[in-house]
Amino acid sequence: MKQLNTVRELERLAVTPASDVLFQEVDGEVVLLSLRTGEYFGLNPVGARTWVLLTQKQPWRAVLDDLLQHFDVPEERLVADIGGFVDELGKSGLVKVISVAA
Amino acid sequence: MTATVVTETLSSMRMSAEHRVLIAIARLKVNTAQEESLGRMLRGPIAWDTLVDEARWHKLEGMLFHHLRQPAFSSLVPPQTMAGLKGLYSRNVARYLFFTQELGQVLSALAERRIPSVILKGAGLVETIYRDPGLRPMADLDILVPHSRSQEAYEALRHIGYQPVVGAAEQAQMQDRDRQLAALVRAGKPVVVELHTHLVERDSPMRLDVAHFWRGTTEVQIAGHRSQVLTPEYEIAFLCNNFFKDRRYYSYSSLGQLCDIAEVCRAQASTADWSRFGLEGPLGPMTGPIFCGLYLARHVLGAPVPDEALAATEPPGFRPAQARLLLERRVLSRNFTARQLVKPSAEKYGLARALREGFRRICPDKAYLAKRYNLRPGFRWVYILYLRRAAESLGVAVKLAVRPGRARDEFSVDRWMHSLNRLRPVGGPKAEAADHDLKFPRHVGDTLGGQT
Repeated sequence: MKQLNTVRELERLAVTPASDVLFQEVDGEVVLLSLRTGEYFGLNPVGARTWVLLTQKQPWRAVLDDLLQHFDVPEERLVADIGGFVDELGKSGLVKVISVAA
Repeated sequence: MTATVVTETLSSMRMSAEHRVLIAIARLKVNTAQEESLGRMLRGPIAWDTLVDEARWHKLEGMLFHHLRQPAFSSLVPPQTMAGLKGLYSRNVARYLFFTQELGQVLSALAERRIPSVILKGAGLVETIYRDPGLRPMADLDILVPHSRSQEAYEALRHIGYQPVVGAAEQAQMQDRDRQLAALVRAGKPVVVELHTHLVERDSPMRLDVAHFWRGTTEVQIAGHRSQVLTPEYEIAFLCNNFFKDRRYYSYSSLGQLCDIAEVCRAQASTADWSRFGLEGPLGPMTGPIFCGLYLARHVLGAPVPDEALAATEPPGFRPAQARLLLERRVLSRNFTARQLVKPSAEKYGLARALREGFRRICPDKAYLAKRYNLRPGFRWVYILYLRRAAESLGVAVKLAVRPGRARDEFSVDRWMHSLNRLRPVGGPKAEAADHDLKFPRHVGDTLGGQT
Protein backbone atom coordinates (compact mmCIF):
# COMPACT_ATOMS: atom_id res chain seq x y z
CA MET A 1 0.00 0.00 0.00
CA LYS A 2 1.39 3.40 -0.89
CA GLN A 3 1.81 5.94 1.87
CA LEU A 4 -1.37 7.85 2.65
CA ASN A 5 -1.12 11.63 2.82
CA THR A 6 -4.66 12.90 3.07
CA VAL A 7 -7.84 12.10 4.93
CA ARG A 8 -9.54 11.61 1.58
CA GLU A 9 -7.12 8.81 0.72
CA LEU A 10 -7.78 7.21 4.08
CA GLU A 11 -11.52 7.43 3.56
CA ARG A 12 -11.18 5.32 0.43
CA LEU A 13 -10.24 2.38 2.63
CA ALA A 14 -12.88 0.16 4.26
CA VAL A 15 -11.13 -1.67 7.10
CA THR A 16 -12.84 -4.50 8.96
CA PRO A 17 -11.27 -6.58 11.75
CA ALA A 18 -10.96 -10.21 10.65
CA SER A 19 -13.58 -12.50 12.16
CA ASP A 20 -10.96 -14.94 13.48
CA VAL A 21 -9.15 -12.31 15.54
CA LEU A 22 -9.74 -11.95 19.27
CA PHE A 23 -8.58 -8.95 21.25
CA GLN A 24 -8.30 -7.82 24.82
CA GLU A 25 -7.77 -4.28 26.06
CA VAL A 26 -5.49 -4.03 29.09
CA ASP A 27 -4.32 -0.77 30.60
CA GLY A 28 -4.75 1.23 27.43
CA GLU A 29 -2.97 -1.31 25.26
CA VAL A 30 -4.42 -4.14 23.21
CA VAL A 31 -3.34 -7.73 22.64
CA LEU A 32 -4.60 -9.29 19.39
CA LEU A 33 -4.74 -13.02 18.81
CA SER A 34 -5.17 -14.53 15.39
CA LEU A 35 -7.02 -17.83 15.79
CA ARG A 36 -5.99 -18.77 12.26
CA THR A 37 -2.25 -18.59 12.85
CA GLY A 38 -2.03 -18.67 16.65
CA GLU A 39 0.13 -15.54 16.52
CA TYR A 40 -0.45 -12.70 18.94
CA PHE A 41 0.39 -9.02 18.63
CA GLY A 42 0.68 -6.14 21.06
CA LEU A 43 -0.58 -2.69 20.14
CA ASN A 44 0.73 0.47 21.79
CA PRO A 45 -1.78 3.02 23.12
CA VAL A 46 -2.23 4.78 19.73
CA GLY A 47 -2.66 1.47 17.88
CA ALA A 48 -4.91 0.18 20.65
CA ARG A 49 -7.19 3.21 20.47
CA THR A 50 -7.31 2.98 16.69
CA TRP A 51 -8.15 -0.73 16.86
CA VAL A 52 -10.95 -0.18 19.35
CA LEU A 53 -12.45 2.55 17.17
CA LEU A 54 -12.18 0.29 14.11
CA THR A 55 -14.06 -2.48 15.91
CA GLN A 56 -16.75 0.08 16.72
CA LYS A 57 -17.06 0.72 12.98
CA GLN A 58 -16.43 4.44 13.44
CA PRO A 59 -15.96 6.50 10.25
CA TRP A 60 -12.37 7.64 9.59
CA ARG A 61 -13.16 11.26 10.41
CA ALA A 62 -14.40 10.23 13.85
CA VAL A 63 -11.33 8.00 14.35
CA LEU A 64 -8.99 10.88 13.49
CA ASP A 65 -10.85 13.35 15.70
CA ASP A 66 -10.72 10.96 18.62
CA LEU A 67 -7.00 10.27 18.20
CA LEU A 68 -6.17 13.95 17.72
CA GLN A 69 -8.02 14.65 20.94
CA HIS A 70 -6.09 12.00 22.88
CA PHE A 71 -2.60 12.25 21.35
CA ASP A 72 -0.45 15.25 20.55
CA VAL A 73 0.29 14.67 16.85
CA PRO A 74 -0.24 16.66 13.62
CA GLU A 75 -3.08 15.35 11.44
CA GLU A 76 -0.86 14.65 8.39
CA ARG A 77 1.51 12.53 10.46
CA LEU A 78 -1.43 10.70 12.04
CA VAL A 79 -2.95 9.90 8.65
CA ALA A 80 0.38 8.55 7.40
CA ASP A 81 0.88 6.48 10.58
CA ILE A 82 -2.61 5.03 10.40
CA GLY A 83 -2.00 4.10 6.77
CA GLY A 84 1.14 2.20 7.80
CA PHE A 85 -0.66 0.62 10.74
CA VAL A 86 -3.56 -0.59 8.60
CA ASP A 87 -1.08 -1.93 6.08
CA GLU A 88 0.71 -3.96 8.77
CA LEU A 89 -2.57 -5.26 10.16
CA GLY A 90 -3.63 -6.29 6.68
CA LYS A 91 -0.37 -8.10 5.96
CA SER A 92 -0.75 -10.04 9.22
CA GLY A 93 -4.30 -11.04 8.32
CA LEU A 94 -5.79 -9.14 11.25
CA VAL A 95 -8.04 -6.91 9.13
CA LYS A 96 -9.63 -6.96 5.72
CA VAL A 97 -8.85 -3.86 3.70
CA ILE A 98 -11.00 -2.96 0.71
CA SER A 99 -10.55 0.09 -1.51
CA VAL A 100 -13.86 1.80 -2.06
CA ALA A 101 -14.85 4.47 -4.56
CA ALA A 102 -14.61 8.03 -3.27
CA MET B 1 0.00 -18.42 66.40
CA THR B 2 0.99 -14.78 66.26
CA ALA B 3 2.30 -12.34 63.75
CA THR B 4 5.65 -12.38 65.59
CA VAL B 5 6.22 -15.98 64.62
CA VAL B 6 5.49 -15.04 61.04
CA THR B 7 8.09 -12.33 60.89
CA GLU B 8 10.71 -14.42 62.64
CA THR B 9 10.07 -17.36 60.34
CA LEU B 10 10.79 -15.30 57.25
CA SER B 11 13.34 -12.79 58.44
CA SER B 12 15.73 -15.44 59.73
CA MET B 13 15.59 -17.41 56.50
CA ARG B 14 18.43 -17.36 54.05
CA MET B 15 16.81 -16.27 50.81
CA SER B 16 18.10 -14.84 47.56
CA ALA B 17 17.33 -11.23 46.64
CA GLU B 18 15.34 -12.55 43.65
CA HIS B 19 13.13 -14.70 45.89
CA ARG B 20 12.54 -11.76 48.20
CA VAL B 21 11.39 -9.68 45.21
CA LEU B 22 9.06 -12.47 44.07
CA ILE B 23 7.52 -12.74 47.52
CA ALA B 24 7.07 -8.96 47.55
CA ILE B 25 5.30 -8.87 44.18
CA ALA B 26 3.13 -11.98 44.65
CA ARG B 27 0.06 -9.89 45.44
CA LEU B 28 -2.29 -7.69 43.46
CA LYS B 29 -1.71 -4.56 45.53
CA VAL B 30 1.17 -3.35 47.65
CA ASN B 31 0.76 -0.83 50.47
CA THR B 32 3.10 2.11 51.00
CA ALA B 33 5.49 0.23 53.30
CA GLN B 34 5.64 -2.73 50.89
CA GLU B 35 6.25 -0.36 48.00
CA GLU B 36 9.18 1.26 49.81
CA SER B 37 10.57 -2.14 50.70
CA LEU B 38 10.26 -3.34 47.11
CA GLY B 39 12.00 -0.19 45.91
CA ARG B 40 14.94 -0.88 48.26
CA MET B 41 15.19 -4.45 46.97
CA LEU B 42 15.19 -3.33 43.35
CA ARG B 43 17.89 -0.75 44.00
CA GLY B 44 20.10 -3.44 45.50
CA PRO B 45 21.97 -6.03 43.47
CA ILE B 46 19.48 -8.04 41.42
CA ALA B 47 20.31 -10.69 38.84
CA TRP B 48 17.57 -9.67 36.43
CA ASP B 49 17.74 -12.74 34.20
CA THR B 50 17.52 -14.97 37.28
CA LEU B 51 14.59 -12.94 38.55
CA VAL B 52 12.66 -13.38 35.30
CA ASP B 53 13.57 -17.07 35.16
CA GLU B 54 12.40 -17.60 38.74
CA ALA B 55 9.23 -15.60 38.06
CA ARG B 56 8.44 -17.92 35.14
CA TRP B 57 9.17 -20.98 37.26
CA HIS B 58 6.73 -19.73 39.87
CA LYS B 59 4.21 -18.50 37.26
CA LEU B 60 4.53 -14.95 38.51
CA GLU B 61 5.86 -13.29 35.37
CA GLY B 62 2.63 -11.36 34.79
CA MET B 63 2.53 -10.20 38.38
CA LEU B 64 6.20 -9.15 38.23
CA PHE B 65 5.51 -7.05 35.13
CA HIS B 66 2.38 -5.61 36.78
CA HIS B 67 4.47 -4.20 39.65
CA LEU B 68 7.69 -3.32 37.85
CA ARG B 69 5.93 -1.19 35.25
CA GLN B 70 4.64 1.14 37.97
CA PRO B 71 6.27 4.59 37.77
CA ALA B 72 8.04 4.07 41.11
CA PHE B 73 9.97 1.07 39.78
CA SER B 74 10.09 1.16 35.99
CA SER B 75 13.25 3.32 35.90
CA LEU B 76 15.07 0.76 38.09
CA VAL B 77 14.53 -2.10 35.64
CA PRO B 78 16.79 -2.68 32.61
CA PRO B 79 14.83 -1.97 29.40
CA GLN B 80 15.46 -5.43 27.94
CA THR B 81 14.12 -7.04 31.13
CA MET B 82 11.01 -4.89 30.96
CA ALA B 83 10.52 -5.68 27.27
CA GLY B 84 10.88 -9.41 27.99
CA LEU B 85 8.36 -9.24 30.83
CA LYS B 86 5.94 -7.29 28.68
CA GLY B 87 6.16 -10.03 26.06
CA LEU B 88 5.38 -12.66 28.69
CA TYR B 89 2.49 -10.58 29.97
CA SER B 90 1.09 -10.23 26.45
CA ARG B 91 1.46 -13.97 25.97
CA ASN B 92 -0.64 -14.54 29.11
CA VAL B 93 -3.33 -12.27 27.67
CA ALA B 94 -3.24 -14.06 24.32
CA ARG B 95 -3.51 -17.45 26.02
CA TYR B 96 -6.43 -16.15 28.07
CA LEU B 97 -8.19 -15.05 24.88
CA PHE B 98 -7.68 -18.43 23.34
CA PHE B 99 -8.60 -20.40 26.46
CA THR B 100 -11.77 -18.44 27.17
CA GLN B 101 -12.85 -18.86 23.57
CA GLU B 102 -12.36 -22.61 23.91
CA LEU B 103 -13.99 -22.58 27.34
CA GLY B 104 -17.05 -20.95 25.81
CA GLN B 105 -17.34 -23.80 23.32
CA VAL B 106 -16.82 -26.44 26.00
CA LEU B 107 -19.41 -24.87 28.31
CA SER B 108 -21.80 -24.54 25.43
CA ALA B 109 -21.37 -28.22 24.53
CA LEU B 110 -21.98 -29.24 28.15
CA ALA B 111 -24.95 -26.88 28.52
CA GLU B 112 -26.59 -28.32 25.40
CA ARG B 113 -26.73 -31.66 27.18
CA ARG B 114 -27.64 -30.02 30.50
CA ILE B 115 -24.50 -31.33 32.16
CA PRO B 116 -23.63 -29.29 35.24
CA SER B 117 -20.02 -28.12 35.46
CA VAL B 118 -17.76 -26.27 37.87
CA ILE B 119 -14.82 -24.31 36.52
CA LEU B 120 -11.75 -24.93 38.64
CA LYS B 121 -8.59 -22.88 39.15
CA GLY B 122 -7.26 -20.62 36.36
CA ALA B 123 -10.25 -19.58 34.28
CA GLY B 124 -12.42 -18.92 37.32
CA LEU B 125 -9.66 -17.11 39.23
CA VAL B 126 -8.83 -14.79 36.34
CA GLU B 127 -12.50 -13.78 36.07
CA THR B 128 -13.32 -13.49 39.75
CA ILE B 129 -10.07 -12.51 41.48
CA TYR B 130 -7.33 -11.22 39.17
CA ARG B 131 -9.54 -9.48 36.56
CA ASP B 132 -6.46 -8.66 34.46
CA PRO B 133 -5.82 -11.71 32.23
CA GLY B 134 -2.11 -10.91 31.89
CA LEU B 135 -1.44 -11.45 35.57
CA ARG B 136 -2.09 -15.15 35.88
CA PRO B 137 -0.94 -17.59 33.21
CA MET B 138 -3.39 -20.30 32.24
CA ALA B 139 -2.03 -23.74 31.44
CA ASP B 140 -5.20 -25.77 30.90
CA LEU B 141 -8.93 -25.81 31.54
CA ASP B 142 -10.01 -27.82 34.56
CA ILE B 143 -13.70 -28.62 34.74
CA LEU B 144 -15.51 -30.68 37.34
CA VAL B 145 -18.47 -32.70 36.08
CA PRO B 146 -20.69 -35.09 38.04
CA HIS B 147 -19.44 -38.62 37.96
CA SER B 148 -22.83 -39.86 36.78
CA ARG B 149 -22.63 -37.59 33.71
CA SER B 150 -18.93 -38.01 32.95
CA GLN B 151 -19.46 -40.28 29.97
CA GLU B 152 -21.89 -37.80 28.41
CA ALA B 153 -19.48 -34.94 29.11
CA TYR B 154 -16.69 -36.84 27.42
CA GLU B 155 -18.89 -37.51 24.38
CA ALA B 156 -19.97 -33.85 24.26
CA LEU B 157 -16.34 -32.76 24.02
CA ARG B 158 -15.54 -35.40 21.45
CA HIS B 159 -18.47 -34.10 19.44
CA ILE B 160 -16.79 -30.68 19.15
CA GLY B 161 -13.46 -32.17 18.17
CA TYR B 162 -11.62 -32.98 21.39
CA GLN B 163 -9.60 -36.17 21.61
CA PRO B 164 -7.72 -37.76 24.51
CA VAL B 165 -3.94 -37.29 24.38
CA VAL B 166 -3.22 -40.77 25.68
CA GLY B 167 -4.13 -44.27 24.59
CA ALA B 168 -7.14 -46.18 25.87
CA ALA B 169 -5.21 -48.19 28.46
CA GLU B 170 -3.58 -45.16 30.03
CA GLN B 171 -6.82 -43.26 29.91
CA ALA B 172 -8.61 -45.99 31.82
CA GLN B 173 -5.79 -45.92 34.36
CA MET B 174 -6.11 -42.14 34.74
CA GLN B 175 -9.85 -42.44 35.20
CA ASP B 176 -9.36 -44.92 37.93
CA ARG B 177 -6.34 -43.36 39.65
CA ASP B 178 -6.76 -39.62 39.09
CA ARG B 179 -10.53 -39.53 38.64
CA GLN B 180 -10.18 -37.48 35.50
CA LEU B 181 -11.11 -38.30 31.92
CA ALA B 182 -7.53 -37.96 30.74
CA ALA B 183 -6.49 -34.74 29.08
CA LEU B 184 -8.41 -33.77 25.98
CA VAL B 185 -7.01 -31.70 23.14
CA ARG B 186 -8.15 -30.44 19.76
CA ALA B 187 -5.91 -31.04 16.79
CA GLY B 188 -3.64 -28.08 16.17
CA LYS B 189 -4.89 -26.09 19.15
CA PRO B 190 -2.70 -25.41 22.16
CA VAL B 191 -5.35 -26.03 24.78
CA VAL B 192 -5.80 -28.94 27.14
CA VAL B 193 -9.12 -29.65 28.82
CA GLU B 194 -9.22 -31.84 31.91
CA LEU B 195 -12.61 -33.16 32.91
CA HIS B 196 -12.53 -34.12 36.57
CA THR B 197 -15.04 -36.18 38.47
CA HIS B 198 -13.43 -35.68 41.86
CA LEU B 199 -11.02 -33.27 43.48
CA VAL B 200 -8.56 -35.72 44.99
CA GLU B 201 -6.80 -38.71 43.47
CA ARG B 202 -7.99 -42.16 44.37
CA ASP B 203 -4.76 -43.12 46.13
CA SER B 204 -4.94 -40.02 48.30
CA PRO B 205 -5.55 -40.86 51.94
CA MET B 206 -8.28 -38.21 51.96
CA ARG B 207 -11.72 -39.68 52.08
CA LEU B 208 -13.56 -36.65 50.86
CA ASP B 209 -17.15 -36.56 49.69
CA VAL B 210 -17.13 -34.56 46.46
CA ALA B 211 -20.85 -33.88 46.98
CA HIS B 212 -19.82 -31.22 49.52
CA PHE B 213 -18.03 -29.37 46.76
CA TRP B 214 -21.04 -29.55 44.46
CA ARG B 215 -23.09 -27.93 47.21
CA GLY B 216 -20.36 -25.29 47.67
CA THR B 217 -20.69 -23.60 44.30
CA THR B 218 -21.85 -20.23 43.11
CA GLU B 219 -22.96 -19.03 39.69
CA VAL B 220 -20.79 -16.74 37.57
CA GLN B 221 -20.70 -15.52 34.00
CA ILE B 222 -17.55 -16.69 32.21
CA ALA B 223 -16.83 -16.50 28.49
CA GLY B 224 -20.41 -15.42 27.91
CA HIS B 225 -21.80 -18.51 29.61
CA ARG B 226 -23.38 -19.06 32.96
CA SER B 227 -21.29 -21.50 34.91
CA GLN B 228 -20.36 -22.46 38.43
CA VAL B 229 -17.25 -21.78 40.48
CA LEU B 230 -16.53 -22.89 44.02
CA THR B 231 -17.61 -20.68 46.91
CA PRO B 232 -14.69 -19.00 48.73
CA GLU B 233 -14.09 -21.57 51.46
CA TYR B 234 -14.25 -24.49 49.02
CA GLU B 235 -12.08 -22.62 46.55
CA ILE B 236 -9.50 -21.98 49.28
CA ALA B 237 -9.63 -25.64 50.37
CA PHE B 238 -9.20 -26.84 46.79
CA LEU B 239 -6.33 -24.45 46.07
CA CYS B 240 -4.59 -25.38 49.34
CA ASN B 241 -4.91 -29.06 48.51
CA ASN B 242 -3.45 -28.54 45.03
CA PHE B 243 -0.60 -26.49 46.43
CA PHE B 244 0.12 -29.17 49.00
CA LYS B 245 -0.13 -32.07 46.55
CA ASP B 246 2.29 -30.49 44.09
CA ARG B 247 4.89 -29.93 46.81
CA ARG B 248 5.43 -33.67 46.89
CA TYR B 249 7.00 -33.37 43.45
CA TYR B 250 8.55 -29.95 42.85
CA SER B 251 8.46 -26.26 43.56
CA TYR B 252 7.20 -25.43 40.04
CA SER B 253 4.51 -22.71 40.23
CA SER B 254 4.54 -22.85 44.03
CA LEU B 255 4.61 -19.10 44.73
CA GLY B 256 1.98 -18.56 42.04
CA GLN B 257 -0.25 -21.13 43.72
CA LEU B 258 0.36 -19.50 47.08
CA CYS B 259 -0.52 -16.16 45.51
CA ASP B 260 -3.84 -17.65 44.32
CA ILE B 261 -4.65 -18.75 47.87
CA ALA B 262 -3.62 -15.39 49.36
CA GLU B 263 -5.61 -13.37 46.82
CA VAL B 264 -8.77 -15.45 47.30
CA CYS B 265 -8.33 -14.91 51.06
CA ARG B 266 -7.89 -11.16 50.52
CA ALA B 267 -10.86 -10.85 48.17
CA GLN B 268 -13.16 -13.07 50.20
CA ALA B 269 -11.99 -12.48 53.78
CA SER B 270 -15.36 -11.14 54.85
CA THR B 271 -17.55 -13.53 52.86
CA ALA B 272 -15.73 -16.85 53.33
CA ASP B 273 -17.23 -19.15 55.93
CA TRP B 274 -14.00 -19.85 57.83
CA SER B 275 -15.87 -22.00 60.35
CA ARG B 276 -16.05 -24.78 57.77
CA PHE B 277 -12.36 -25.50 58.29
CA GLY B 278 -11.32 -28.01 60.89
CA LEU B 279 -11.21 -31.77 61.32
CA GLU B 280 -14.87 -32.06 62.31
CA GLY B 281 -16.21 -30.06 59.34
CA PRO B 282 -17.15 -31.18 55.83
CA LEU B 283 -13.63 -30.33 54.69
CA GLY B 284 -12.11 -32.27 57.59
CA PRO B 285 -10.05 -34.69 55.46
CA MET B 286 -8.32 -31.71 53.84
CA THR B 287 -7.41 -30.09 57.15
CA GLY B 288 -3.64 -30.72 56.91
CA PRO B 289 -3.24 -29.30 53.40
CA ILE B 290 -5.59 -26.41 54.24
CA PHE B 291 -3.46 -25.49 57.26
CA CYS B 292 -0.32 -25.70 55.17
CA GLY B 293 -1.68 -23.40 52.44
CA LEU B 294 -3.28 -20.91 54.84
CA TYR B 295 -0.25 -20.78 57.13
CA LEU B 296 2.17 -20.04 54.30
CA ALA B 297 -0.26 -17.65 52.55
CA ARG B 298 -0.50 -15.63 55.76
CA HIS B 299 3.09 -15.87 56.87
CA VAL B 300 4.79 -15.50 53.51
CA LEU B 301 2.38 -13.31 51.57
CA GLY B 302 0.51 -11.59 54.41
CA ALA B 303 -2.93 -12.97 53.52
CA PRO B 304 -5.64 -11.98 56.02
CA VAL B 305 -6.25 -15.49 57.34
CA PRO B 306 -8.15 -15.32 60.63
CA ASP B 307 -6.48 -16.74 63.73
CA GLU B 308 -9.52 -18.99 64.25
CA ALA B 309 -9.04 -20.64 60.84
CA LEU B 310 -5.40 -21.41 61.58
CA ALA B 311 -6.21 -22.57 65.11
CA ALA B 312 -8.96 -24.87 63.80
CA THR B 313 -6.65 -26.50 61.28
CA GLU B 314 -3.33 -26.51 63.14
CA PRO B 315 -1.99 -30.06 63.38
CA PRO B 316 -1.03 -31.44 66.79
CA GLY B 317 2.54 -30.64 67.81
CA PHE B 318 3.03 -28.16 64.98
CA ARG B 319 6.32 -26.21 65.03
CA PRO B 320 6.92 -23.18 62.75
CA ALA B 321 10.28 -24.75 61.84
CA GLN B 322 8.36 -27.46 59.93
CA ALA B 323 6.60 -24.88 57.76
CA ARG B 324 9.85 -23.04 57.30
CA LEU B 325 11.54 -26.19 56.07
CA LEU B 326 8.69 -26.79 53.64
CA LEU B 327 9.07 -23.23 52.40
CA GLU B 328 12.82 -23.67 51.94
CA ARG B 329 12.88 -27.11 50.41
CA ARG B 330 9.59 -27.38 48.49
CA VAL B 331 8.54 -23.82 47.66
CA LEU B 332 11.75 -21.93 46.95
CA SER B 333 14.32 -24.60 46.11
CA ARG B 334 14.33 -26.04 42.61
CA ASN B 335 16.74 -28.81 43.54
CA PHE B 336 15.24 -31.64 45.51
CA THR B 337 17.51 -34.33 46.74
CA ALA B 338 14.71 -36.83 46.91
CA ARG B 339 11.18 -36.26 45.77
CA GLN B 340 8.05 -38.14 46.72
CA LEU B 341 9.85 -41.02 48.31
CA VAL B 342 6.73 -42.43 49.83
CA LYS B 343 3.51 -43.18 48.04
CA PRO B 344 0.76 -40.89 49.30
CA SER B 345 -1.49 -43.86 49.98
CA ALA B 346 1.02 -45.41 52.40
CA GLU B 347 -0.23 -45.35 55.97
CA LYS B 348 3.14 -45.33 57.69
CA TYR B 349 6.22 -43.29 57.00
CA GLY B 350 9.59 -44.49 58.19
CA LEU B 351 13.14 -44.95 57.04
CA ALA B 352 12.53 -48.55 55.92
CA ARG B 353 9.64 -47.53 53.68
CA ALA B 354 11.57 -44.57 52.34
CA LEU B 355 14.44 -46.88 51.40
CA ARG B 356 12.06 -49.39 49.81
CA GLU B 357 10.33 -46.70 47.77
CA GLY B 358 13.71 -45.23 46.86
CA PHE B 359 14.75 -48.59 45.48
CA ARG B 360 11.51 -48.80 43.49
CA ARG B 361 12.28 -45.44 41.97
CA ILE B 362 15.64 -46.73 40.78
CA CYS B 363 14.13 -49.95 39.45
CA PRO B 364 10.60 -49.12 38.26
CA ASP B 365 8.58 -51.31 35.92
CA LYS B 366 9.14 -51.28 32.16
CA ALA B 367 5.98 -49.31 31.41
CA TYR B 368 7.17 -46.49 33.65
CA LEU B 369 10.57 -46.44 31.98
CA ALA B 370 9.01 -46.35 28.52
CA LYS B 371 6.90 -43.36 29.49
CA ARG B 372 9.63 -41.57 31.45
CA TYR B 373 12.15 -41.81 28.63
CA ASN B 374 9.65 -41.43 25.82
CA LEU B 375 10.50 -44.73 24.13
CA ARG B 376 8.80 -45.89 20.97
CA PRO B 377 6.59 -48.99 21.35
CA GLY B 378 8.51 -52.24 21.02
CA PHE B 379 11.87 -50.79 22.03
CA ARG B 380 13.91 -53.85 22.98
CA TRP B 381 16.70 -52.40 25.02
CA VAL B 382 14.55 -51.04 27.79
CA TYR B 383 16.67 -52.86 30.37
CA ILE B 384 19.63 -50.69 29.51
CA LEU B 385 17.67 -47.88 31.06
CA TYR B 386 18.09 -49.54 34.44
CA LEU B 387 21.79 -48.76 34.10
CA ARG B 388 20.90 -45.16 33.34
CA ARG B 389 18.61 -45.04 36.39
CA ALA B 390 21.39 -46.52 38.50
CA ALA B 391 23.83 -43.86 37.25
CA GLU B 392 21.31 -41.10 38.02
CA SER B 393 20.73 -42.58 41.45
CA LEU B 394 24.45 -42.66 42.06
CA GLY B 395 24.47 -38.92 41.43
CA VAL B 396 21.73 -38.46 44.02
CA ALA B 397 23.63 -40.69 46.46
CA VAL B 398 26.76 -38.55 46.06
CA LYS B 399 24.70 -35.43 46.76
CA LEU B 400 23.29 -37.09 49.87
CA ALA B 401 26.78 -38.06 51.04
CA VAL B 402 28.15 -34.56 50.47
CA ARG B 403 25.24 -32.80 52.12
CA PRO B 404 23.63 -35.19 54.61
CA GLY B 405 21.83 -32.29 56.28
CA ARG B 406 19.84 -31.64 53.14
CA ALA B 407 18.78 -35.28 52.94
CA ARG B 408 17.67 -35.12 56.56
CA ASP B 409 15.65 -31.98 55.78
CA GLU B 410 14.01 -33.61 52.75
CA PHE B 411 13.10 -36.64 54.81
CA SER B 412 11.76 -34.41 57.55
CA VAL B 413 9.58 -32.42 55.10
CA ASP B 414 8.25 -35.62 53.54
CA ARG B 415 7.42 -37.05 56.92
CA TRP B 416 5.63 -33.88 58.04
CA MET B 417 3.61 -33.65 54.80
CA HIS B 418 2.77 -37.30 55.16
CA SER B 419 1.42 -36.71 58.66
CA LEU B 420 -0.65 -33.70 57.48
CA ASN B 421 -2.33 -35.92 54.92
CA ARG B 422 -3.55 -38.22 57.65
CA LEU B 423 -5.09 -35.95 60.25
CA ARG B 424 -8.17 -37.53 61.82
CA PRO B 425 -10.53 -36.25 64.51
CA VAL B 426 -9.29 -37.44 67.90
CA GLY B 427 -11.49 -40.34 69.02
CA GLY B 428 -13.93 -39.65 66.19
CA PRO B 429 -14.94 -41.96 63.37
CA LYS B 430 -12.93 -41.89 60.18
CA ALA B 431 -14.47 -39.78 57.46
CA GLU B 432 -16.46 -41.80 55.00
CA ALA B 433 -15.20 -42.32 51.50
CA ALA B 434 -17.02 -40.69 48.63
CA ASP B 435 -17.60 -44.13 47.26
CA HIS B 436 -20.40 -43.25 44.95
CA ASP B 437 -17.48 -42.19 42.81
CA LEU B 438 -15.75 -45.54 42.87
CA LYS B 439 -17.87 -47.12 40.15
CA PHE B 440 -16.21 -45.30 37.34
CA PRO B 441 -16.90 -46.76 33.91
CA ARG B 442 -13.82 -48.18 32.26
CA HIS B 443 -15.25 -48.23 28.76
CA VAL B 444 -15.20 -44.76 27.26
CA GLY B 445 -15.33 -45.29 23.54
CA ASP B 446 -13.80 -47.27 20.78
CA THR B 447 -11.45 -44.88 19.07
CA LEU B 448 -9.27 -43.65 21.91
CA GLY B 449 -5.89 -44.85 20.70
CA GLY B 450 -3.04 -42.76 19.42
CA GLN B 451 -1.53 -39.44 20.26
CA THR B 452 -3.03 -36.24 18.97
